[in-house]
Amino acid sequence: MNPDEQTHHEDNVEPKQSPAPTKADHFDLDKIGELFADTIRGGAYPNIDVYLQMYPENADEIRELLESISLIETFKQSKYAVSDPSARHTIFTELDDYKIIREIGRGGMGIVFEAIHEPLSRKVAIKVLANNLLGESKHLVRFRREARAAAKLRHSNIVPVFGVGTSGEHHYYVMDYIDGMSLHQWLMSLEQDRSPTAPTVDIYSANTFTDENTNKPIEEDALQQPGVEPSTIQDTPRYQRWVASLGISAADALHYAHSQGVLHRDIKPANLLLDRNNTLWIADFGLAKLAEQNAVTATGDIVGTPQYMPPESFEGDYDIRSEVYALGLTLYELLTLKPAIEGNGTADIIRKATRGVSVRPRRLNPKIAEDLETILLKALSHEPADRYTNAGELRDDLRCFLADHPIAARKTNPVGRVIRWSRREPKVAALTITTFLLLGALTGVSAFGFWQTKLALGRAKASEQTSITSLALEKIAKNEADGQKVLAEKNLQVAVKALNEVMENISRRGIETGAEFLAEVTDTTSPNVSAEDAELLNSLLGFFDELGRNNSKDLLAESAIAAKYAGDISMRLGDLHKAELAFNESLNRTRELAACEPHEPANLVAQAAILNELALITGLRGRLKHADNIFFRTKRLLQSCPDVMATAEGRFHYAIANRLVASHATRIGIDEPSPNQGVGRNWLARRVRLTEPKPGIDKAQIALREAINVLTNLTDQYPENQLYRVELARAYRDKAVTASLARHRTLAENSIQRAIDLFRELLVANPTLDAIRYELALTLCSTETFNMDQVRRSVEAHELCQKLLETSPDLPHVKALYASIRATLAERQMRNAKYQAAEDTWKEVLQIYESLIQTAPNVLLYERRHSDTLESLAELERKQGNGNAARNYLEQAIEGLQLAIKRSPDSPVMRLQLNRLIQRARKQANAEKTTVSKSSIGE
Amino acid sequence: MSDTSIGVKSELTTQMRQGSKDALATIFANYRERLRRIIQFRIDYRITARVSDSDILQDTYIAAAKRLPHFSQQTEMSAFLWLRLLVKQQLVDIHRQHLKAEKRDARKEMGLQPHQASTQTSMALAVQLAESITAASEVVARAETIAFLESSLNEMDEIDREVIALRHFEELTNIETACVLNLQPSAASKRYLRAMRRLSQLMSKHEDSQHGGEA
Repeated sequence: MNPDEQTHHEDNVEPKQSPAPTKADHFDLDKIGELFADTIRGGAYPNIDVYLQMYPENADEIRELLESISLIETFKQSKYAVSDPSARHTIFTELDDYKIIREIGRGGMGIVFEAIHEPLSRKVAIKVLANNLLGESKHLVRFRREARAAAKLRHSNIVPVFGVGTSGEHHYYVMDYIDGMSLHQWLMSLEQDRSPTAPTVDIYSANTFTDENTNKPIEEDALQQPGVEPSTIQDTPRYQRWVASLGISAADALHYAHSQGVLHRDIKPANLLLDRNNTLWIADFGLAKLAEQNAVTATGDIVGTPQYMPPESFEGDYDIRSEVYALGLTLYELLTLKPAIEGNGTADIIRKATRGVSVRPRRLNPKIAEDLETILLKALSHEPADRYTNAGELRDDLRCFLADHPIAARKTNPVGRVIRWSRREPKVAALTITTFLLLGALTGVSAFGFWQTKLALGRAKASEQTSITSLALEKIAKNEADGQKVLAEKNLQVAVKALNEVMENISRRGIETGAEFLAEVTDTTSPNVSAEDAELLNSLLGFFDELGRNNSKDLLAESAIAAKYAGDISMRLGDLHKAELAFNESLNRTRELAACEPHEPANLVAQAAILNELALITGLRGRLKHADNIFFRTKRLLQSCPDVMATAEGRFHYAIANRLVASHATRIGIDEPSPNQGVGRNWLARRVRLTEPKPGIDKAQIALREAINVLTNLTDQYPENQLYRVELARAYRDKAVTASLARHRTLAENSIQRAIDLFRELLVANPTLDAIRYELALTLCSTETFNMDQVRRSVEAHELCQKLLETSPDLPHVKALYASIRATLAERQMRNAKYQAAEDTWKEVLQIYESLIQTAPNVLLYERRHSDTLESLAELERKQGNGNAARNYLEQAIEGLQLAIKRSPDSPVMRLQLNRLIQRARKQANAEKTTVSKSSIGE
Repeated sequence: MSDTSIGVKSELTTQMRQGSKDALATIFANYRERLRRIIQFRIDYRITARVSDSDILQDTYIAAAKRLPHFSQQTEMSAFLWLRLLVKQQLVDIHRQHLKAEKRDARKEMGLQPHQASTQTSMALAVQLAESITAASEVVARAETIAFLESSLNEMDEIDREVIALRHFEELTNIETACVLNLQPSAASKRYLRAMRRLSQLMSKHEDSQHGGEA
């Protein structure tokens, strides 16, 4: 930069009130500087040249000093601005739970800050609205309604709105923080970089320009028009296609919002944001309404920035076609790098805006593609009836342009249209003087108002400091009874959004695509959640607790879902206790919610779903009887109302409940062995010696039959629903396990075959779903079959599992499955007396369980399998006659189990296993003693 | 600006030295804005939320009233510099009190405060400054300049930065500066001019490095 620019004031501003510098007797640079600084502090812009002329021989020195002084003094003034001294110090730092980081900018409606939601450490953007916009309470009500409508919009190109809040006298609007810049800023930067000779830097790197359809960078060379040497970047087809793709995103978002009954009302480059991934986001939905309702109520719909307002809006007409026009204006500006409507001063701009766009894009830049221009011209038709009837049509035509298909706009006699377009006369003859005055007032008021807002906020901050939240609440309570709700709702939405992100993170890392695809009962506790997730989650859970305490009715639904979510994550984290608490919490809220409509099927189904989760957890924690009780509760609940069982969801959850109770009943049969049952079982029940059918098994068989019946009907009725199929296949798998325990070989074989077939079909339909691959592998090795298929299945399970490990090597439940597959192999090796191979395999298995216990210390199953493995190794050593080594392994197993029991004292199963191990170790010791004494006798 | 006013106030200063609280009140009111500027400049931005500069001014006034007898002994010191000293003591106390947890050197607290010299801030500043400037390029240029200035100030060594701070941010005269730094006025002036030259050099260095490619 040229240093002269720093003092640009001097070029055109005459020094006002500048005390004429008088030449001192001797040259004193310091004094000159002091005088110069004082003049600036007095509010004048002194002219450096005056000083230079006085001491021409020291001109360089003086210039250097005075320029620096000028810079520092202006800098300082702007930093500690301005006229109101009592407000100078104020830096706005907090707003309820939000800590303000910095000001991002100020715009049409208020000041935007980057902020952190402190309880959740989540970055947000907060727009503090100008006070004058919400002067009356009815406006406030309307503002909240609008904000709530905007908050409901969910679109990948609309900045998510979390809600509104009030602090002191200030209303604010919390939205997601988009890291990037607005198209307005971008255009400004482009203007900055543009030079007539050549583009300076390619600030938008190659990946900036992506083809909307393929999402791949557009090859510039391929699209380059032959013989055309682009002098600037915006002349390239690549750039035009990029603009078109932005238009597609924006139009799609608008179309969606319109379908939800929400108009934006202020579409312009400043409200279209571009994030670092080059995704377009529309900001400030519904906010423009505020200005309209207050400042210009009398005259109707004058709102927004006149430069970006469609002609009809000056007459009070505004609909979705007006937004098509406004988007057209933005695209026009992006392509031509000139605002479509320009004027000198507000009056001129309004006059031009009412006439509409008068210069064709191609006249400004002939390199713009004809089709693209045609699309723009249609969107920018003066008469709303001539435009695209909705944003969706504009989007589709832009897509056609990108795909090089004929565009719809062209089909309608393009020549005629263009002529009509360029010849048309302003329909709006004159703007009423009132409208104009009000508009002018609005502009002035807003600019002033925001400044005031900021100052006032600071003042409020300084004086209220600690009590700001309570003051705010008091104020709202005075104004509106549901004030607190607004606050809570906003916080809740921030929290729910954060939760959603955690869930997304998890499913991106994990193989599960959702809670529904949870793996086998005993394997659901896979803690494939990062430490950060856990931390965030903990803060979220605390947050939800707090919310739960003072929630109003309306929030129950959301907080119930959130609590369920939290329970699900806690479960994955392996914290079953916390998960149980969360699910109970969720259940209570759901029930409370259902209190007014106790027989509404959806409510009952929701409760049943949570009860099923609770039953699952209780089972996992080894409290099988309690799990059983939950099942009866679920069953009663679902059968309490005939309408419930008429719904598919109701029957689905009934089936799940049955399947769960069956698995618990099976385990009661296994985990509580009769006292004379010497040898324990391992996880595949291979060693179980059932002398007589256990009552649990019967019960399980009945429940499974019920589940399978219901699920078969459901899958017949809804063949497209894959969840039903997954559940059916799981039920068959459980049936096979139960049947095999009861020694019904044929039934077991048929059931497992059915389960395998179902999972195979599902995998064919969803080849990318690892969750199904996992289920299939699990099924392939979940029963002991009685023919040669077993080996084949083991091999297949092994292969599937290896594939899973390739894609997700760290998933605990996959590792556990792999270990169990290897354990099967080890057992076979042992049976075939291949002791060395068996030992190697067992050791490999042991290592896997050791690492699993490290990552998921809360999962009892891993502890037990670890102990089983040690037991098997002991058995192996015993068979080979190594008594010492055998005892060693048993001792390790006992030690491990004792530690595990300390961590989870409420597991009867582990205690049983421990007792058995202790007995075994004793036996082993005795056996050794006899051997030792025998051998010593022999000597 | 102050040298001339000292004469007017010297009568008051004498009264103040004799212990007149009325004189103190008048003098304090006169210097209020200058003292406030010192607070604004010196206070850590993290504290501004908790303590307003009006509070600090008030505390300073109370402290001054209490310690008025001390002032009679400070015959070398002007009333303004004495009050400035009290302000700085207040600031040290407050910083110590509020930032104790961070165990920061109290002297360091008194330095130039980091003002989040991001380009965004500078841009916002520049836009404020540039209300009359219409060309976007000028706004950007302005923002750059401010950013250069901030980083240049931060790069300067302690002594240079302090003298610029005293002269421009606290708006002390050369004589006052000399008194604060315990130097002869001519030496203070030399130091100030040298610091300004260095600032100027740093600025042009920044600009060169930014626009080196264009040359």
